[in-house]
Amino acid sequence: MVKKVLAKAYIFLILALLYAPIVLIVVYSFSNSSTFSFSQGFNFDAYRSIFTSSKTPELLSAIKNTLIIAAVSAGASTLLGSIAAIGIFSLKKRSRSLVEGINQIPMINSEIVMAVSLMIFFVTLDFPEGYLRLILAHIAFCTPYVVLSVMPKLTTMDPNIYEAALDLGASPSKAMVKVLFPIMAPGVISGLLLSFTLSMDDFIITQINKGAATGINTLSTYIYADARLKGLSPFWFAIFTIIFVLVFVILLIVNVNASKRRVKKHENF
Amino acid sequence: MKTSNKLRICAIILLLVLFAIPLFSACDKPAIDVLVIYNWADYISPDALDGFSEYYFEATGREVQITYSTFDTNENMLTTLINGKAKVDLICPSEYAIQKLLQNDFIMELDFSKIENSVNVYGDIKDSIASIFGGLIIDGKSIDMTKYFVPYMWGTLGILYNADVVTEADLENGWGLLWNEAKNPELTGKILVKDSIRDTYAAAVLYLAENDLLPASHKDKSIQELINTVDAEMLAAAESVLSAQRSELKGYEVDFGKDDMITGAAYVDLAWSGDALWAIEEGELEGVNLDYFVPEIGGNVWFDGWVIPKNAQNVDAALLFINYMCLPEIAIMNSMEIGYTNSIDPEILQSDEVVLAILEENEYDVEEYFSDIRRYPVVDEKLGVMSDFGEANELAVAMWERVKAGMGDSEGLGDLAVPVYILVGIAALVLIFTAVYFIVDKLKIRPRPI
Repeated sequence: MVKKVLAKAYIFLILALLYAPIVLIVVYSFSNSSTFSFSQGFNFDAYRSIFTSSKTPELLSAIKNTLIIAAVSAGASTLLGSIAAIGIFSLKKRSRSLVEGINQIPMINSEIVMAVSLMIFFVTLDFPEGYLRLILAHIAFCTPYVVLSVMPKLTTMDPNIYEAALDLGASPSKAMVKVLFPIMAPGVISGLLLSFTLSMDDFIITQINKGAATGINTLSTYIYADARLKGLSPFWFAIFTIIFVLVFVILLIVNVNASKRRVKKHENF
Repeated sequence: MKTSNKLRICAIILLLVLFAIPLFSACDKPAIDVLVIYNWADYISPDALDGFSEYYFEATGREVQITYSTFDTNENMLTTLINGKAKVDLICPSEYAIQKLLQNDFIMELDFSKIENSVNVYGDIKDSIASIFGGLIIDGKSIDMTKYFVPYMWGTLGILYNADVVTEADLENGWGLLWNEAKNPELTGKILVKDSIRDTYAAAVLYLAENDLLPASHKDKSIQELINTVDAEMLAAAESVLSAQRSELKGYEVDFGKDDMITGAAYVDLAWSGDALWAIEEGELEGVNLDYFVPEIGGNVWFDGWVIPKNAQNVDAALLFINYMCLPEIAIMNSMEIGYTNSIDPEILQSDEVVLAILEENEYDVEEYFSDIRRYPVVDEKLGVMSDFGEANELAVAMWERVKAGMGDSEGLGDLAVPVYILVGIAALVLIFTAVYFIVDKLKIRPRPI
């Protein structure tokens, strides 16, 4: 009995530590102040100011940039990473573990090293500033994660299935589309989502590679700049709340769907 | 074989297209003039910025499109420009960063015949700037830095305090307030200073001067000479007082000092005048009685100015923009938006009808606005401009790191030292054992033939 209570208490303590800061943000999003006080009472002004503040154009363009960069670089790195995973999978054992090791380096490597080396690379080769640099940089750091999330699907696959497709008369490309792709699909999708969120969250690489000539900002670099003079604008708390609620709802839908599917499977068998 | 070739070609084409799209969109620039401005975040009125295209059209008969880019620290800006080779037309750094840009041969001499409105700039500010930057020695040549920039905003470094807690006796100590010289028990642990070596160094040196603690060789120097003296003796003296200050401090802040002052988490803060005035107004709304002062002995006056880099693509538009910024009504619009004092002569501002209307619109009493010494201090020999630390910068930064790490006093990690070392030791042991385990494991597998 005591054990049970203690176990529960422990879980709640961990949950509280994890979620208390987020709950605070949500609460303060209704205060419309940057100083964590409720002097103006409980109101929705912060949410309204997302669209009416004098910084709205900058904010919206930062959101737009974040989404464009995340979508393009997630798409491209998923494509690159999935193809690379197939290639790595069909390598001989020794060279495969070598390439897999090389693939790990960018992930383990410190982000600041990656950021500065990318900057030097772009400057030396005189890439145009702005989207191009940022998208290439994001593709560079997202691709290894896609490879990592696709590889397990391939290694756990029964190799006989692919060979059976070939024996039954499918061409290699047809076998790839009909057999390999469906097996890879869950890994590809999780790789896509992973690289999308990684790209959205990234600060260090974006901050160092965004340059100055195009005035490009993503959400993370814009919030950093905005905090300087007058503290955070109140609308940030509203935006954080919206992001949190969105992620929460998406997770909820995904999980409910997954558990429904599990129930259905049980019924079928 | 055929199909795999096809696939290969498809993949190559796909990759080429992917890389080509952004390249094409980069070339596809509109045929109107583009002006790239690189400024501090939150440091201009959006309306003033929008108004420039009309001004530009009237002056040139052409359309202009502004690309507005922001930075958060001078150091970040310097890295982006000098290492990142970013191409911008107009930058607004602080005085010492302008000096660095000049030393890197990065900015051009301005054609003042195209910036007629620069005559509006406050003479006192011009003089105090010229007193230190008028004859810079760069590569053996004397260069007048005032020919390379036009001041934009200026202000002082002083102390923001909570007037309900800080007493007259506290204020009498001037910079000593940051050291809680009057031993007001309410202030202990409620004092903030900036985590910025230039600002804290100035405060420390002025505190030394107040208390007659200056090294003997520097005793007769003016305020400006003092805050620009960065030698071993002065650094050692500053280090000892900054270390002694630690016991009174709440901490070192970067951006959240003003918020802490408004919420009452801190009562004293080393602040810039513009930030302080903003905090005072914000504090009034929240019912907190804040005030700001520059101690009797003197202080530091700083400014930011517009410079044009040598690799600027559109110099004429940049010059026109500087000219536009020097219009009285534009200057006051910027001041209303960001709270800092603009560089335009207050006499000229006061005689401009549009300026007066704007002040009224923002509910300021005109006389009060211009006579407020927090906003318009008397710029005399008590206020010194600070130049770049130059070669002493590394020593100063190292000193500041030691102060922050608390090595100046014997505390260090304090009571926590022993447990922390034990934890570090355990972590190291665990790491070593894991490494040994994996190595042994690998060695075991190898001899087995596949």
